[in-house]
Amino acid sequence: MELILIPLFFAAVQFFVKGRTASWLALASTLVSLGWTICMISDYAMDGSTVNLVDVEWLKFAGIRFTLAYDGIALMMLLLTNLALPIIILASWDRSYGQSPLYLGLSLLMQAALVGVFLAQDGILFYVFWELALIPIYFISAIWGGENKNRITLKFFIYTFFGSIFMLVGLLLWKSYGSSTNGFAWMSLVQSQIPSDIAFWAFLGFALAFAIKLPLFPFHTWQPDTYTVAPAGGTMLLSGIMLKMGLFGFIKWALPLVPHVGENMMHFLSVLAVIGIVYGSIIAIKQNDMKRLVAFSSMAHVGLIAAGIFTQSLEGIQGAIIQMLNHGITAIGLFFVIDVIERRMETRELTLLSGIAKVAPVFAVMTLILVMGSVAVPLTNGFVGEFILLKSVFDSNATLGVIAGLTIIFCAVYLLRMVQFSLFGPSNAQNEKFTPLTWAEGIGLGTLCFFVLWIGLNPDPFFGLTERSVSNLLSLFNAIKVMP
Amino acid sequence: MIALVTVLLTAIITLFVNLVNTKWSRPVATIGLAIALGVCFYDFSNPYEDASEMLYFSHASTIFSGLTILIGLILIGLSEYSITYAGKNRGDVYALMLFSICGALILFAYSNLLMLFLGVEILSIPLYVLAGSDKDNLASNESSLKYFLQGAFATGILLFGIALIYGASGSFVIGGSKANNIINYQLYTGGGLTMFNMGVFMMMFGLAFKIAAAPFHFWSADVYEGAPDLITAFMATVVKTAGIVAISIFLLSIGFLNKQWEMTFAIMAGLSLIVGNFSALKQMSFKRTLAYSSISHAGYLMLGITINDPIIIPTLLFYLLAYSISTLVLMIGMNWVAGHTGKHDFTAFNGLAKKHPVLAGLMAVAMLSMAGLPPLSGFFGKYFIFAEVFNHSALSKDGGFWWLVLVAAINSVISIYYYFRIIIAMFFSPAISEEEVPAMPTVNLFVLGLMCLGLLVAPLFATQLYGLMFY
Repeated sequence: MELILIPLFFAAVQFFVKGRTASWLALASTLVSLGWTICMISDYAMDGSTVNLVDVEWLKFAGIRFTLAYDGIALMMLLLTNLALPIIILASWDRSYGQSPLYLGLSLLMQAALVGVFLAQDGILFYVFWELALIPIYFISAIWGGENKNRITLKFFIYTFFGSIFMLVGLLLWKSYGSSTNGFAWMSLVQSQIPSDIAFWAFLGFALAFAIKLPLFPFHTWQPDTYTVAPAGGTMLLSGIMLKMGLFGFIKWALPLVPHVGENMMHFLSVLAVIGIVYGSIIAIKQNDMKRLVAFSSMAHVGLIAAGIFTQSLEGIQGAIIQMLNHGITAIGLFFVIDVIERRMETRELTLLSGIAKVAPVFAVMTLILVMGSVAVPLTNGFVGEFILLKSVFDSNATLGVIAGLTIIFCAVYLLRMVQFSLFGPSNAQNEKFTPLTWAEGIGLGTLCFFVLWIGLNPDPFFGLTERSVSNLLSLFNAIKVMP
Repeated sequence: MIALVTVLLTAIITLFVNLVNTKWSRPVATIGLAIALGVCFYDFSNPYEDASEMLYFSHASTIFSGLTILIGLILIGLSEYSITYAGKNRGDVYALMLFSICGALILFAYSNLLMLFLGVEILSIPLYVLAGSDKDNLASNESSLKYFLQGAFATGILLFGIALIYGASGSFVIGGSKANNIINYQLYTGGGLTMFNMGVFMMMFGLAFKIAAAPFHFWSADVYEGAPDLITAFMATVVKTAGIVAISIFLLSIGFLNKQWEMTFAIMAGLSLIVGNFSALKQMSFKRTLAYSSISHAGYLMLGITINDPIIIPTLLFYLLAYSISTLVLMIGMNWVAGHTGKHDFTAFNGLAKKHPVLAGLMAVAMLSMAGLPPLSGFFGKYFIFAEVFNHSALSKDGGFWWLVLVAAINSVISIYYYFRIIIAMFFSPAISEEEVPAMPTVNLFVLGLMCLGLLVAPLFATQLYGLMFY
């Protein structure tokens, strides 16, 4: 509960402050949240139990309760959110919008909404937070965005809203036609009996909402434009945390419907996910704009995570969860790197950049660590996640597994191409403009690199956090009785 | 009942006060409405049933009356700027608005078709005048004439319908379980049923006209656009509320009688949604966009009525509350900006957020509520209606109207496009207007702020509100 209230409170405080004070307050708020999250994790018993935070009657006549609770999976998502936010604020530190109380307030509001999404145990509450997260990011992208921002951000908003309204319809179907005893409460919905034809439509509603958010091929058309046009902070929020909402939604809200719908649906979705991997990778290879390149690479990575979830195996979901954290770290890191370059060189075009490593060796090393994490080189975080994901996909369908495995090769191609063009090669005259990293950039990138290596070298605590929760979740889903 | 009398007295007093000094008319009307709002609390604990079966002030109708009086209070109380066009006649405008509110109060409480007709006329006739009250403005005159001609025609058909129903059943009384209720039409044999159905059809025609539901909506865009902003806001909120409540009292009390009316009504709801939204997409004028959006809101409300169960009444109230409050915020904001720039186009709002962040922010909140984004009231209004329709279809054997919810859901996505145009204009577009828009008076901003706060917190108290209705 405090994790929602702290950002909300500091978002309100932003109305009354200006300039650097605003930035410091926002940073303090996110650090308090991070500290709080770490305390919660260290207090958690790692036994997969669900800890209730708050549970009050809200709209009794409509069967809606205000229930927040967490288990290992939610804790992992909280860690990602609250770790990412301070870094995002540090990343915007030297930008003009980094001092704007409006920007900081919206970021904090977004943080509150995201925490709500991961904690909500009631369908409608989940929906409310889900939509609430959309409004701040829309404003962030549209106020501080680049060229054509009005058209692109409106398309993004309508596209994602289109998906979520069907999730609302799905929720209503699930509750009205299922024999849910306790309104929209998650546990009650999961254990309810629902005719399979109705379940099919409800599942489609959920799947559409989550697939658009991810985005899964062929619902990705909003993504590259929006990532490119949004300011760096907004892109980090979008790619680092917001698309995890879709993955998390699949695990928690869509998988319980699968027993009613049948496995075929999952095969279909897996194929879509794998198409997304190959498609995103191939397009990324040809990109010249670094931000667009990473946007497409993000699509490929998320496709693999989604494919892992669709296997519905312990390994697949475990891998997906740790990879969500990893992808959050590396995606934020890469967009951070791009922003650092863009601010100094005033361009993101690969053809105009060259030899930055010569003038900024420290920066180059940090960039390389992040790129290695994204390419999934052993001893980095990406390897841990992607290896397990690929294994789970391979186990459930060998053909798909092999095709999905291409992601690692493709990823190496486009990211190393990016590194080669921008960092290495002869130093060009423009590089004089490359001033040393500021303290904010140094701390932000340094923290990310530290996590890349820590998770890569010692992933056990992270797996341990979620393992029992995932196995509990799967056994709950397996026990679902299907209506004859 | 006493609230109705209070409003009526206020109207008459305002008329005379205006003769003495025009300046006093607004305070007098405001204070009168404030007293009437207080009297609603008394009325609430003393339900009143007229012995001659004309009016029945139940809890529900008193709450609707309170809502309408509140809307009138906000509109008249904040009308210092929006009324300037009326010059020395502003007292007349207030008095006519108050008379119109009396008509609405009758429509919330009628238990006799004659009172329905009276209510519709008392509501409408002042409006015909009000729409044309900006006498020097050609558009306002056009609006008045169009509204009057078509409105009179629709009222005539409504009256014809009532006559046919009387012919078939021999009674004007609806609701309750009285022996002389019109639903006891089975007593009459022969051509009675055909006549009765014809009557219901004509009444639906007349009432659908009042709420601007498709396919009876053609008047609304021109009339809303031409009328003075103050009157447009009044029509979009009070008239819509009164019309919807009148329709639901009538249709729910006859229980639709047969399936074909339910289907007719559902199709009208779907048409209103689609026509309203698609027409709004390409408008240049913000005021006209709001007019079309109000057609689509009529669609959502009618969708609720299709479930044919009085349980929908509190849901309608909640929806109307959210819709009216956000419409008022938008209309008052629009009036302020348009009054100083001289145009109602979207471009008039360009860059408003830079100069007047508070006003722009409040209008954005109202817009988001209209568009149905959680956690604002507009979302919950829509959600409650969808949920009722789904619950009803899950229970009914023939499947109900769940498909209509899909239509409504898709439409609410489409509506984002035009609702967000104003947000884009205010926040993300550079200012192009040369006219300087001065800052809004702090008192007005404060009231708008309270209204937006209401939109934010109303969902928390929805349970209590529902409780009151079934009290």
